[in-house]
Amino acid sequence: MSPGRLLRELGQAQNELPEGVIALEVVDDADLYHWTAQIEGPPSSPFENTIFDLTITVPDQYPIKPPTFNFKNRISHPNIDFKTGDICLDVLSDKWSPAWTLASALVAIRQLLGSPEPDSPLNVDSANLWRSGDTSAINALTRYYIEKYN
Amino acid sequence: MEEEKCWICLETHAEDVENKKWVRPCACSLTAHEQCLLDWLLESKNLTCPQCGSGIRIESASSVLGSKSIAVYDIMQTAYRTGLKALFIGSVAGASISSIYSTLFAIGAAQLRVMCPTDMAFKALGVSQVSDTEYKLLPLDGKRLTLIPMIPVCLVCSRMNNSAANGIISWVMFLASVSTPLNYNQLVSSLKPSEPIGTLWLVMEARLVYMYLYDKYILPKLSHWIAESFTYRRDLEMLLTNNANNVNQGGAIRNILAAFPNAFPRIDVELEVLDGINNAPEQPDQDPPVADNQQNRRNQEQHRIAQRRRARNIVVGVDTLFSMLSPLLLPSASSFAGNILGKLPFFKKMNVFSRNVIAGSILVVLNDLIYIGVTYLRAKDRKGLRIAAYKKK
Repeated sequence: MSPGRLLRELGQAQNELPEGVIALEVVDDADLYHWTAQIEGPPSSPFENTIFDLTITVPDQYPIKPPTFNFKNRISHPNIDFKTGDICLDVLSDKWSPAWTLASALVAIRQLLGSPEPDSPLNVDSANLWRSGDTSAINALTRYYIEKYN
Repeated sequence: MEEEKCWICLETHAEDVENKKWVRPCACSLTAHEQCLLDWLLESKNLTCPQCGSGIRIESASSVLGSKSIAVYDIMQTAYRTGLKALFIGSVAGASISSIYSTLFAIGAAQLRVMCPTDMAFKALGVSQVSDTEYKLLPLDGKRLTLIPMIPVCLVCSRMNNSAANGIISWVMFLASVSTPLNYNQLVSSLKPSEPIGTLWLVMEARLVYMYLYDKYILPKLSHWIAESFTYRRDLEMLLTNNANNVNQGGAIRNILAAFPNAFPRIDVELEVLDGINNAPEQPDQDPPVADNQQNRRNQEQHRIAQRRRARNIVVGVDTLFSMLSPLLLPSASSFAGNILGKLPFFKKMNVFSRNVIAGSILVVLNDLIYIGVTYLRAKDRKGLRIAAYKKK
């Protein structure tokens, strides 16, 4: 794939960003395949009022193949691997389509923060907590890890 | 109105300087470069528009024959690769099996030659003597191909006492006795003890009785002697040092002797003896102080693990392998002993094969007797050791 699409996305990101996405930029101007991003935790969720750093790795075949997003810091969330920061989100794997962009995928990830899918967990402890529905425990644990690692 | 662009590479019509081909494949407003869309559709295998969900059709420019040829080529390529894999795996497996088989066959043939007089061996191996110097190899039939490699297998089995070994021996004996096609009269006449096969049957039945008696009466004694001769002194002392304050020595020894199982496989005698020591129950009437109890148990557990590890090293080693394979040398020894036996008046008239088989059986029993005797002597010797009183010069 030509880098044309990534260049366009970069231009778009410098112009305007969707709501909740604070930053989206390439690490190195000469390399369009490694990006960093910042998103804001969605309101009325345990992740509220926090800014999360992500790294983005774009494959050569982008946008035919999806990019890979990783949280930089440890985060307690059912669909995010506690150690590696890998994200389990269907549109970033088998439901991927070139209609998604890096910016729109970040919006999807932000939504995932607010409404996890405990049925396809990468972090089973967190998933069990969310399934239990114990809101104060979820809040306490999530905030604890945010304070600890962010 | 938003400018039309390719929904995959995001290029707009205005930016398209190379004049690529654009397509509008479905009912909705999405447009794309044909090549971008093809890349995506062939990768995702999902021929629907992401926006409106209507199907997208791909047409092949090549003729029906062309696309069919590609399909046929792909299938053949897959089949070819699968075939190659199967050939590789098959040849490796086949080579190992055939090398094992031919080794067994060679050993079996050599053992037949050693055990039988020349004419009988030739008959068994399918060699026909045309003249004094000329021999002809007969084509090998199924019976020879099956039975000759089974000879070394049966020999190894003959020194094991378990149902599998007994079963293998019985089946091979049966197959060796019947002629093809099955002839009842011939089978019965071949079972006369004076006939070669009949002798073999007799010896194999005797083997079962012998093994039964050995396991029932001799093995328990043997394990006592082994324990008395070398094992328990060394290992028990360690056990006693570790539990010095709660195990009374005499009681421990009694426990150990009581804990010996009555029969265990010959090869594992040493292992079982050690396990017997390890599993010796604690003295119930001499409980240690409560505070020491846990520490003691932990010591004992560690000790057990260490000992068991040592026991496995002793038993499952090269020695065990050799002791399992040693029956393979039995035919040579039997034929040697059979020659000597032939000097005795009673055995002079007997056919050579039966004489050798009987000589072999005598060797086996002798071998066991010597082992039993030496083990007994070693135990007696060890028990008879005393520390001499100090003598002033």
